[in-house]
Amino acid sequence: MTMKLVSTVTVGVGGASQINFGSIPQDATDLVVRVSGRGTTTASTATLTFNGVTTTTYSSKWVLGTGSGTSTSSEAAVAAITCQKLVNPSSYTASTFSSGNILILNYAGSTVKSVAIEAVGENNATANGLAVQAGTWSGTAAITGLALTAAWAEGSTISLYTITKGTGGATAA
Amino acid sequence: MATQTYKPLANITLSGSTASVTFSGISQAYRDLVLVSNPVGDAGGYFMACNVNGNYLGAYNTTRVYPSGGTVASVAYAADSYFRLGFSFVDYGPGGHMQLSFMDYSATDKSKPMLWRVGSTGVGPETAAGYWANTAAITSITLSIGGGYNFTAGSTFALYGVAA
Repeated sequence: MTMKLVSTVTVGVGGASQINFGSIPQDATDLVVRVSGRGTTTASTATLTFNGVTTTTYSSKWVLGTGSGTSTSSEAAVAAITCQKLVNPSSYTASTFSSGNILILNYAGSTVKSVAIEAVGENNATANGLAVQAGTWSGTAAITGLALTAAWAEGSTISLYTITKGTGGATAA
Repeated sequence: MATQTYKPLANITLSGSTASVTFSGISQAYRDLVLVSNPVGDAGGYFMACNVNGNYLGAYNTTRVYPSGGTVASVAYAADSYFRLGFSFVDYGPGGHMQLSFMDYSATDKSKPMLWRVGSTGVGPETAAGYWANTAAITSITLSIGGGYNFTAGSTFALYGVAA
């Protein structure tokens, strides 16, 4: 099966400070993380790390839209990728959750890891946010685990999938 | 057994440099196409082009949104010879990514919409939407870099069909 669910975490009563996926199967091509997230604080970001690595080996750049304007910013050589708008702030309409998608290409390979992130908040008001983000982990090890750290509120759901490319095709010179 | 709805169709992994890669003979059995790539380029300052069916006529229309000098910029191209995607290609790798989607690619009664997402920490994320003003079904997709630049060894391209 091309796109396969590995695991789903649903945050229970009391919330959670970190969502961890470990022992990720190494038999696929790409990883996809789907997030439906809400926080217990007014923060709208979550940090992403791989394999428990928290050295300054991450970078990212993003574009934001808030409904009243746009902005772009970046982070370089930091200890984690700060995923923009991945968490719905506690100040947003009750019982609303962000929607986010994280794609990690060639996660089981031995090259630098590329990360594509898009996320949008949900709020019954003009204040909201949408983010498109490109990130990199300069580690060349295969990704066997990942962690998303935030003040996750009860009801947040994070699912990890693997995508497997076909075995056919060409190796072109 | 459940029907597979996200089907891998073909892959290209480069062992050397090439100015273009092509997926041809694309199955017409799906609703949408998704092309995912981890491209690596040998030089920057030039955009990536996408053509379908070997067609280089002025029927490609693209609107891009991208970060530029600390602000967010947008540009549109109409009646172009290709989908004009991205810029400063050398920053795409290592660590760059691309996702290209064609909706209703096998239809023969509508123009072909396209959504594109590319990014790297050097350039940042860029998104684009466009359409090919032609009702022919898409049977091939070619990605290329102009200006004498190439995709280099290690670049990967994977094509998937999405069933309705």
